[in-house]
Amino acid sequence: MVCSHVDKWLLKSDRLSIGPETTLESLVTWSRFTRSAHVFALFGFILHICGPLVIPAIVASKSAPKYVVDHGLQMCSDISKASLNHNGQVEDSIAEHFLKELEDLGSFIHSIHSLPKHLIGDIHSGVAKTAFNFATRALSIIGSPIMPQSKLGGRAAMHVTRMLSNYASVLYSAMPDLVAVPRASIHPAIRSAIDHRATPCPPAESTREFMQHARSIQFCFAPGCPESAQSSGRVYMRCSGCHVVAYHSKECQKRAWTDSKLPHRDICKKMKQVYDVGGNYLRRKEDQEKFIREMKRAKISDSMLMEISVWLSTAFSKLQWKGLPATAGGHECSS
Amino acid sequence: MKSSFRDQFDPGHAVDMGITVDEAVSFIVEALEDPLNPRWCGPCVAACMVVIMFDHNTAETLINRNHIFGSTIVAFLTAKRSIADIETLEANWSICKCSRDHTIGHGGAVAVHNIVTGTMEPILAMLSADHRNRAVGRFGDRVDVIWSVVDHLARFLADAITKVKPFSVAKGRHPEIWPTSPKDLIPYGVQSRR
Repeated sequence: MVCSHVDKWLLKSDRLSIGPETTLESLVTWSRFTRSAHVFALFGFILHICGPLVIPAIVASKSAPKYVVDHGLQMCSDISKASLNHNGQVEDSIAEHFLKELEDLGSFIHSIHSLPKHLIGDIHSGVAKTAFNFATRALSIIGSPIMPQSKLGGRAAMHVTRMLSNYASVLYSAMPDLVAVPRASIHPAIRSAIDHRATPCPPAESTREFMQHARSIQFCFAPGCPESAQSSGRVYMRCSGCHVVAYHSKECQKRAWTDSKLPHRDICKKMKQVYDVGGNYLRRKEDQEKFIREMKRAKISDSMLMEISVWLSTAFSKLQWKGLPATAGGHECSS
Repeated sequence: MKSSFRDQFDPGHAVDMGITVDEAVSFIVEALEDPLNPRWCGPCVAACMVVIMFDHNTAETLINRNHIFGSTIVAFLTAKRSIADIETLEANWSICKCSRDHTIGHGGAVAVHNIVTGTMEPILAMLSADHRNRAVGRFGDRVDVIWSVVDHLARFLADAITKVKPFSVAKGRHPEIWPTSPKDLIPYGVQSRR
């Protein structure tokens, strides 16, 4: 030991392996201490990379959404109290700081967008209404005259506006009773996001979204298999027919093929047909139009696309990770 | 390893404090080896982070060259602490209390301490000026050592892992790229305690 202060540190018994909650809560503690969401923003990267390993910790530990709400409201309060210049606006640096902090909070907000509604409800239990109010208040501030004109049209302001309105719309659709705000009093940006979410998606668009999501998530598609690529650390094999779903093992694939409720053999050929035509356009959002065009050109029927969407949607709802459904993904599809 | 445009040396981008980037990395790894019990003082760690942040190498280049550096930063930032623990760390860490006897025999530690104690003010002023929210930060204009360290560590880490692909990490497809597995980012166990 080399420094005089080492004896003031924690005991060795405190240094136990205590799960992903530790990672989550430590980032929140640092963020609370530094009064900045900069460290908290790391959370988004960790969730992106470790996905299934940390989702249960987010659900179990309420610290992340609570921090988002507390820090977000604090930022709103700080900017409201800031002194105004002769134009009646806050200084550029203060507006920039406000937007940056909200962007950092966005790493968490963005990462939970694709979770199923009931998980969003579980994560926000006790803070749903406050979270909705935070988003509303922050959006009102961004649109208020105190924000400098130079910041309003900027990338950061637009990004934060989109992120907050999506967040509030997700909360509203997941927990309308808890949020309990009359539609007429909802902020226009949030209302428009809610309407967008409720608008049925054309079949080709929703199928593309579901297939893309299926190819990006890291869970085994066999019913009841709790493994994810992260938990098993194994190379997952994609179905050589459809190239969309992946399995943890050969046994999982066999079980899924003949499953009594959702057999993969019912859909594999249809998905292959769609993948063969539009598989190259699943990766980038910009390729959506190309995908739709290819479906039309290959005369793939809307009913087949719908069938694939419904199959994948049902499969997502059955994915499990240690008792927690994984992710539902995407937009509602038109029916 | 593929070079990025930042790998071309830019003298205006580097901070010449008398220690190299590799020495700064080694110093931080040694300092934070035990995340709950940092070995060296905050100002020296902060100064080394300045050297690293202003270097011409990218964060991912540095971390991929020295995986233990990435793991050390994650272990430090995600160790279980309470606000009171951080306050204790702040109280003990903000001013260099490392004795000369302790630094001798620890590689570049003597040099770092000599440099930092000799040029402490300009370095911390540089850190302080770098804070985007200095005006509304915790202490206004007061130099905040622990914040500087944590902020720089978080920013460095974020820079390093921005482009990592989840599947590649899960499958351990590129052992030369950090994080090599999800466990590198969840060092205190992947099994939920609940």
